[in-house]
Amino acid sequence: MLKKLYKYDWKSVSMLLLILHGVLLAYSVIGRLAITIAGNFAANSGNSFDTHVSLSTTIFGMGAVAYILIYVVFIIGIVLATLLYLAVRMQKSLFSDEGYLTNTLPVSADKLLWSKILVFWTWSVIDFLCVTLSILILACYPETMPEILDGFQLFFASLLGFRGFDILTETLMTFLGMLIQYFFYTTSLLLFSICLGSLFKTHKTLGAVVSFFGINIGQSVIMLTLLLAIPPLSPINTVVTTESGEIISNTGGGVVSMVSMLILYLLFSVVFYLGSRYILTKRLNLN
Amino acid sequence: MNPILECRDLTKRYGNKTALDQISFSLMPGKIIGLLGPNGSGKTTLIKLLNGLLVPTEGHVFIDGLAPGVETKRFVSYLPERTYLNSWMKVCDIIGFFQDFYEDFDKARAYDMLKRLNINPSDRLGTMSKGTKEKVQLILVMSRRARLYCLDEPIAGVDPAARDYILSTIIQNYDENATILISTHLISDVENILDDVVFIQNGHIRMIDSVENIRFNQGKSVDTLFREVFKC
Amino acid sequence: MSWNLDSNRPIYPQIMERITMDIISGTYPPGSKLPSVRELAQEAGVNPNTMQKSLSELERTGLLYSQRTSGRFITEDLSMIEQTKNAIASEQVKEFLKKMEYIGFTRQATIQLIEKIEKEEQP
Repeated sequence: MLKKLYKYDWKSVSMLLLILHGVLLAYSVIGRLAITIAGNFAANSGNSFDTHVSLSTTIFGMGAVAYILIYVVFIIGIVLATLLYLAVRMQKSLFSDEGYLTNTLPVSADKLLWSKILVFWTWSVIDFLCVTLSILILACYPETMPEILDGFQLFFASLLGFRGFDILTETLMTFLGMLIQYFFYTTSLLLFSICLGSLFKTHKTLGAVVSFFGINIGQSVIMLTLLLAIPPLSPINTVVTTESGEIISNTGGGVVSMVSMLILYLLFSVVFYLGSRYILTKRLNLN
Repeated sequence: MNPILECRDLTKRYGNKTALDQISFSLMPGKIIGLLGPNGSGKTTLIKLLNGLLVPTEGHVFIDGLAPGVETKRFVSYLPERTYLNSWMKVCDIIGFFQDFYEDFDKARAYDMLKRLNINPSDRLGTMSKGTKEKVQLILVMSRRARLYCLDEPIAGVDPAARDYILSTIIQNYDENATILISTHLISDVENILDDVVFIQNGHIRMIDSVENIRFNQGKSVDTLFREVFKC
Repeated sequence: MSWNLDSNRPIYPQIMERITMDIISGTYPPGSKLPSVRELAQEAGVNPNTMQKSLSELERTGLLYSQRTSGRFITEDLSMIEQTKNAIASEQVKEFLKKMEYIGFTRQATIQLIEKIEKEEQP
């Protein structure tokens, strides 16, 4: 059943998102072509500096500025739009008129939620890959390749422990932290906010938005308090030099602090998930 | 024989507005039942409670002895009073969808009805008129071989010709062991196909009786009786 | 719908009357097969359970009989159909006479009127 749900949830969002990401890649390819053409043009014109050439370089220059501006807006826009669109579709599927069908299917709330989560994850990964690919299309040149490869090498070397244990754990933790924060915390919070929003009598969407940011702020406050209140968790290194010249450093931050953060994030995710399930099964109110 | 539907002290409040007030009744299977009441009497609320789209404030509702849930959704076929069809889908897609999720869905029956109503299976739902969408929805719902059908205002939005067709579709697909609950305020159109009627008003059950009894004892149609009972 | 049922009277006796009429008028010939409950219910626009009840009642009177597997048939007993026809005919005449009486025609006057119309209509 989960497979079937996923199939239909996937179909219901993918048309628009595929077009959007296709346009991004096409735009990148056009940019790449334009750069190549401009490069050739500049090379051909050589040193003979006449007004036509300078005019055309000006036009190329202006075009380039416009292109880059649009590109930056596009990249930011596509990431936000994808998230927003997925969230809106989730909300519609569960709590709008469509919810009359979704919620009368003979499937458990768990499956309904997991199908949404999996589609959200899939599109997040595709979105990330498309943006990366788009940047690579525009940025990969014989001159820049070594640096790009170096970057990748550094990342993987750290991740595989070639650069020592400390760096390995740090990279791993940062990497894991980002994954957990996005794929578990943010995803489950999104679902939970949408479910909370559905409990509002009117303005269900506004309710969801308010819940999302409200919980996020609340969570930050809780985390910050915990981190500051419990010294071993504190990310701040306190170095105290005693009179005898001894140096007592509290390096409590580092790994312990990061691991406890990860656990907290996971804990929040579980709570959000269970909350969403509770609302779907015990508090559903479609008006 | 167990009742197909049973309500015990069923209450539903929206904030401080009471939509259903301690309703208790049960219905035996194998009948076509009209849930009749003026606008805002609680018909839709009751049907939504049966389908788990609302949670009771107090009391219980049982379908074939079970609280609404995954299990009951397998054998309850529900037609809401609004359209839930996804506009990106084609008619054949939504038929595939029902086929995928409901084991009791009869695809051949659905295609047969589409043909008779001249609806093209490759048409997109988004481009259809409201009336056509309602017909598609009714076809989907009636193509299931369910044990309980909950039809919320199935004929309100369609023209009289389609109304006749819909009623005859209901009769044609009706299986003696199934139960059909039809909520409507267009009584004269449906009363000939009903076994029993449930009159509901302001969240209370006013009366449950069979159509034949009403006509025999009162010498008047259910429609006439309704107009008298609910006289403004 | 197409059967023009009176909504102020119970449905099942009306269906019985209607099918009885169809039998004595020969719409359903003796010994022929009656359409299924579902078909008849759909044609009449009534609940199949009600149709079922009417047909069972007609079976009880003997105008219909059912064969377990193949469905319901019209009786082959011609004398019985004839009897029913006569009974209904007399009922109709009595009803008619009552109405005539109500508008002030004695039996004698009614019969005279019938004969007069009969003569006029002949070529």
